[in-house]
Order: sequence, then C-alpha cells, then structure tokens
Amino acid sequence: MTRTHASGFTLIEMMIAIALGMMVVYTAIAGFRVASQTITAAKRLSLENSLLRSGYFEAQRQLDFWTNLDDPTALDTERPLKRTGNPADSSIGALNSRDYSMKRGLPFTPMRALQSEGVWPKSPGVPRFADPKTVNGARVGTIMPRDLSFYPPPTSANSNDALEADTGFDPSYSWSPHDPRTWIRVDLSGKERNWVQQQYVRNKDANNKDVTDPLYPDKYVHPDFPEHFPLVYNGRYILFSNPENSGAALPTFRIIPDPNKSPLLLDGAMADMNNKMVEITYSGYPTAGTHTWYPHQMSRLINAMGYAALCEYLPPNSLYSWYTLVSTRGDRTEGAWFNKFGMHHDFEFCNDNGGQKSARGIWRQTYPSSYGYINPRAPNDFNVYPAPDPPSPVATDKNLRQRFYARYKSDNDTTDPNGGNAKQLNWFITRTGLQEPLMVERPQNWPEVKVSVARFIKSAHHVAVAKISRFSPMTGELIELSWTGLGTTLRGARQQRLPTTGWAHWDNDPGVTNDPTLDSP
Amino acid sequence: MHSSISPRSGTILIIVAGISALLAAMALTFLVQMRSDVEESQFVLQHAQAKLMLAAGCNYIQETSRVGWDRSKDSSATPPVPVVDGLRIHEEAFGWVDVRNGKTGPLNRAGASLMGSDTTKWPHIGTFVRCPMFVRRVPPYATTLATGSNPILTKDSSSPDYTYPLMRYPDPQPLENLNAYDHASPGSVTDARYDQFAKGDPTPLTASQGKAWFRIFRDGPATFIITCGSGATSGFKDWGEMSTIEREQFPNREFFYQLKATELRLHYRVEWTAAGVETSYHNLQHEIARTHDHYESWPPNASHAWSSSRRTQTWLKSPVGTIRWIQRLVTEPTFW
Repeated sequence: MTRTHASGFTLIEMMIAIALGMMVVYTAIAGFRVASQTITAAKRLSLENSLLRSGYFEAQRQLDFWTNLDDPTALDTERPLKRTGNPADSSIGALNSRDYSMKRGLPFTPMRALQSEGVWPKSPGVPRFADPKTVNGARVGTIMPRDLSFYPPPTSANSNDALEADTGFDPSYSWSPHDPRTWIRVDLSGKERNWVQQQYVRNKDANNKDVTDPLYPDKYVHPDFPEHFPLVYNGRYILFSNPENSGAALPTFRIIPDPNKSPLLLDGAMADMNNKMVEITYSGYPTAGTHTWYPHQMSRLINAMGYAALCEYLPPNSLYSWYTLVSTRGDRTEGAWFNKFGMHHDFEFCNDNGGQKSARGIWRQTYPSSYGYINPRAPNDFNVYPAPDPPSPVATDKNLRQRFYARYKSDNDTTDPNGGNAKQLNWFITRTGLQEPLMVERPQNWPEVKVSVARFIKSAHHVAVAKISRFSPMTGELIELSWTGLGTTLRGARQQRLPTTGWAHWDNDPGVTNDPTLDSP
Repeated sequence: MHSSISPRSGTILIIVAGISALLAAMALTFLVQMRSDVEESQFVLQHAQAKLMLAAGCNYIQETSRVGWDRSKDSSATPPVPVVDGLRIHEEAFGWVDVRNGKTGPLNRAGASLMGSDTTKWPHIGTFVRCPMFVRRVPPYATTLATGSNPILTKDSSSPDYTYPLMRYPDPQPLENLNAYDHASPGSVTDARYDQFAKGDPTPLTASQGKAWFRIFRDGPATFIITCGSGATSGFKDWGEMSTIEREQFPNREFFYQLKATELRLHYRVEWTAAGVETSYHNLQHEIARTHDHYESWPPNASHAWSSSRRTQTWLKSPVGTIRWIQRLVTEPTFW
C-alpha cells in the first residue's frame, strides 16, 4: 500500500506558524514603533534641550552685556534707558526738582551729556590721572588711587580746597577709604530731635492751641523761639558734610541734650532737672559749605542714574546722608525734600522700617525694600502697584525715570488682604525680570523658551537673577531654571558702551587709543 | 537539483535583515543626535565652569588683598620680617591700595612692600598670576572634619588633667596627622612636620585636572583683568610664554594648541576696593539688640529680616574688601 505524504502544512502547523509569524511581525512592528517613537521623543527633547541651551547662552550674554536693558548697537531713539541729555529735552528737569517727571535716572545716560548741561561740572584745577604708565610692556594704571599726602588734612573744613570742591565723576579715580573726602561726617547715633522735643515744648495761643510755624505748618513753635524749633540731625556734625554755600551766618542752637526726656520748662512730673537747654554756637566755623565732595558725588550720581545705579557706583560702605543749606535761617538740617535723602522714610530712598531720621547705609535701605532696573519693555501697569505719582498710561522715559526712583517693598506682608507688600514684590520681580521670548517667531509645535535677567538690590546684595522657562506645547510641561549669575555690573556695562552707538573697545596695548565710554567725562 | 534551503527562509532573512538594518539606522541616527547634544551640552558646561572661575578670581583678589604674604619661614626675606616677642610674625597686608595711606600694596604693617624685588613677577603691576584649578591631594593646612568634643575630665580628681580646660588636645587636627601630633607627647610636632602640614600635598587629583583655570593680570593698583578658562591649557596664553619646564606638561606644541582650540576663555576687568559692607548705628544699637550680644541678635546667616525678629547681618564687615565693578571685555586684551 502506498502511503501518501501530505505536501502542505497541517492545520495545526499553519495555526502555529501563523501565530508565531504574527508574533514576529507584531514584535517587529512594535520594535519599529518604539524605535520610531523613541527617536521622535529624542528629537523633541533634543530640540527642547537645544533651545534651553540657547536660552542659557542668551541669559549669560545678558549677564555679561546687559543687552536686555540696552542694546548699544541700536539708535538712541530705540534705547529708552539712555538719553543724550539734549538741553532742549525739558523732561530732564532741574537738579532738585521734586517733580517725578522731571528727574533724571536713566542708567545708560552718558556722563558727558549731563556735564554739557551743567549737571555734572568738573572743578577746574583738579588733577586727573589721564596718563597711565607702561609697565612690562602693558599700559597700566588707568584707575588710580591718590596717596594720602595728596589730600588736605582730613580735619580741614576748607571748602575752597580744589579736591573738596570737585563735583565731577572721574572714571580714573578710585574711591578709596583712605581718602578723607570719602569719609561721611555724621554722628551715626544722631536722630532727629525735632519731633520728640515738640511733644513737650509747644507754644500755645490764647485758645491754648499749639502754634505752628507759618513756613512749616506741621512744625510747632517753641515758646522760647520766634520760629519753629530747629531740626537737628546728628548734632554738630551737620556742619561737616554740606555742599551748599549761602553765606548765611551760622545760628546758635539751643537743644535739649536728651530729647527723650522732658525738658525742665514743661511738666514738672516728667521733668529732668539735669536735662536743661544748652546753647551750641558755631563761631569760628566757615559759613561756606564744608566737605562738599561726598555729598556732591552722591547728589550727582542719583540725578544721573537713579537709586539702583547710585548704589552700584558708590562703595558698599557708603552712608546715604548729607546736609544742605536751604533755609536762610542757617538751619543746615532742613531744606527741600532732596536734602533729607536717605534719612527720612517719607522719601524714596529710605525704607519704611522705622521713622528714625538717622544716617543709613545700604543694608538698612534695602532689606525691606528693593531698587532695580525695570525692563523698558515691561507693561506700563502702574495700577498693579501704584508707582510714584503722577501715574501715566504711556510708557515714556519719564515713567522709566519714575520707576528708577521708586522703591518696592520686599517684605511679605501676608496680613494685607490686598496682597500688600507681596503684591508689590511680585510686581517688582516680574518687571525687573521680564520674561521675553528667545525667538520672535517659531513653529507652532516648537517649545517656547523665555529668558530674563533681573537686576536689583536686596539686603545690600546686588543681585542678578537669570531665569529660563521652557513651555512645551506638546506636553504642556513648563520648566523653569533660575540662578544668580555673576557678570558685568552696571559700571562695567557703561564702560562697554560708546557714548554714541556701538561697543567701546578697550585694550592695554600702549599703542592703542581706547574708545570713550558712557562714563567718559 | 533539489535545494535544501527553502525560498521562504530567504524571504524571512531579507525581511529580518531589512528590519534590522532599519532599526540599526534609526539607532545610529539616535546616537548621532545624542552625541551632538552631548557636545553642545559640553559647551554649556564649559561656560558654567568659566563663570565659576570668575567667582574664584574675584575671591582670589579679595583674599590676597590681606593674606597670602606670610614670610615667617623665609629667613632671607627682604625687607626683614618683623619680630615680636622673638618670633617672626605671620604678616598680613592692608589691601591692594593700602587703607592707611593710599599707597600701592600689598605692604606689611611697617609699610614695606611685600611684592618682592623682581618687578616682573606677581603681584607687581603689569604682571600676572596663573591659577589652574585642579584639586590637590592635600590642600595646605588641611584639617580633618572629625572634630572631637574635647571632653573635660571631671571624674578623677587625682589626674593631672582633672578639669583641664578645653583644647587640652587641640582639634581639629591636620588631615592624615601630617604634623605627627601625639596626645601623649604634644611636643612631638616638629617644624618639619608642621611645614608638611602647611604645604600639604600639591599632587593634583587626576580626575580634576584640565577642567578650568583663572589668570589674573594686575593692570593698576586695584584693577585687574581676570581671564577665566575652561579647558586644559592650565592658563598658559601660548606656547611662547612657557618655560622649558612648563612645556613638559604638554606632549608637544601642536597638542597644546589643540587644547587651546577647544578651550573657552572669557576676559573680565574688575576693580577692588578696601571698602567693606556698611554698618550703621541703627544696626549696632537697635532697640531689640540692646539685651543681646550684637552678633547674637544679628546673625550673619539669617535668611530674612523684619521688625522685632532676628535679623540678618548681611552688612557684616568684609575684612578683604569688595569688588566695585566687573566688566566683561568685548575683545581679548593684548596683555592678560
């Protein structure tokens, strides 16, 4: 019997083969799909990482060149933080104007522009160090300290001294602690006596009402004085840092040694028999302004570039206080608003921590408040946090100046139902650190990367906070990277820029002529 | 002739080979992409390292304005090291611009220069110092973190150490006991062993080499150019400035320039000032501080401040001055 062999597969074989084949095909397809998805995901991540890296380098560029605030290659008309100081520009305003719209305060305004309009004059006869030496082949010494013997005796109050009378910013001069001109002459423990004394010492009229000074309605009149009781900040030291020269005779002050105790002439129960009025005379002191350099440097810098820049240009141990003579009565303590700069919490460069009118340094000024550089492209939304009046709906250089003069509270006051200080702080951070897109245009499915570098002062620290954010439209994922960067400071940024347009070239090759900068006199 | 290989097998082979080739190509693309990303990320890393060198350079300038000028072990030092109570003192300087008189420093307390007589060498104006930032096996004056509690013996009144005050066995002790201190015989510390402790072991840790460096050129009494490097040239500007011994660090000239080509260099100019952070009467004598020691009421490391709470002491005086300004140079300067 012939046995017939099957030439094909049996059903079971077929089923097994098909099943195995499907598994193979499925595995291959799955492998392909996984590989394909992996590559797609890798490409997406690669793109996102690439954009993040670009954001990182953009942030580093901003940290080193301040290009987010001022592009030196742009025309002046496109540089809102720079003004050329054209005398015809009335918005520049008068030196001591209280009108916020009239102040200076733009951080990239050339010193030369301010000088040409008389804001930043230089005293004639003051030696400058314009001829650096060549040592070991290199040009050196473009910024020079002067040796102590160069100066008049530190105790001298001779305002006619050329060095004291100097008012100009000198980029070649090193503001050194050994220089007597840099010493602030105040009594750090001195506070305003006016308020406390007047709680006890008031003149009464026929109706037993307090009599106030007609010139100063908020000041009570002392029974012993025809005018209001003189404000005395920091005692006798008020004489020694005063830029004004009115020629007025210095008055005799009668003060109570301890303003916290009642003087003898009032309530007997509170009187301290030893706390008697004493007379302080200033005979023998010059009537002209004394030790004028320090207050001039500060007043000019604040007018030139605003508070934040002032803090960057001054050494960190500066005490923001000086005195001017405005009253014809010879009261060297009170004048226009500007004169109590740094001493009174009502004024802008003074935080709300206590009302002591004492000389304050950078830490005291900046621990509950911050000062910074507002991005000129930030929204002009003063209504979020009312900026100094008058508010303006239009973003102009006037607004920017106001902002540079404004302080923003940085304490987190959670008790305020309206958000209080936290709201102000948020406003401040988002305006100094305005997040701007890395790319003006991008494919719709590409990640959006934004970059910012916020610069401000907080608790005596000059901070530059760089932030990169990346939003993925595919996944909805948002990543933020932030760090405090070290890089060019404002003065460095100004030295990088030509007074006109473009970058300033600097070299230490003696054969090279260096370009002028925004700080050039 | 009957073939033993089924045509079906060939088909499967082609399919499998094709899929494999496709997967391999995709894998290769993936790897190339990853490599490209890593290379670009490397540049980010280099940039970050260079920026760290800026911080290191600023710290170097600040610290050496005061310290680093100890000549007490140099018996031939000129000018002579001042002697107090028969001992040559550990000298400190008073700033790059001397805070006492405005002269160019560093000067010692007698007003004599600590710069040495060779005006072509650091820290004279117009010279540079090169600082490759590898990790030493043992840094100078390295101590262990294992500090003892230095207990006071209070049980055995007959012991000569009974109630002996703290620091009977001083700690922390040098790393690896480099000074050979022995509790039983404290006099075992010799000058030679102490010198070893002071010097440490400068042998670089291999993994830390070739990463980053900074170099400082003094271009004025208190102005400096800090060049920040992220790469393996150790801060040498070019082959020509190296001595024969220095060149031995590199296999040859071409290799050095190859390293230089892959290196990132950033140039900054900075100004140092002796001015520290301010203090003012308010901080020193605030009403809440009166019952406390000043440093207790205003600790340096508090994170925040508000009224009636402990406050930060961020205005703490800096004994080494501060950096007044930093300027990234737009172009490479001729001398650095």
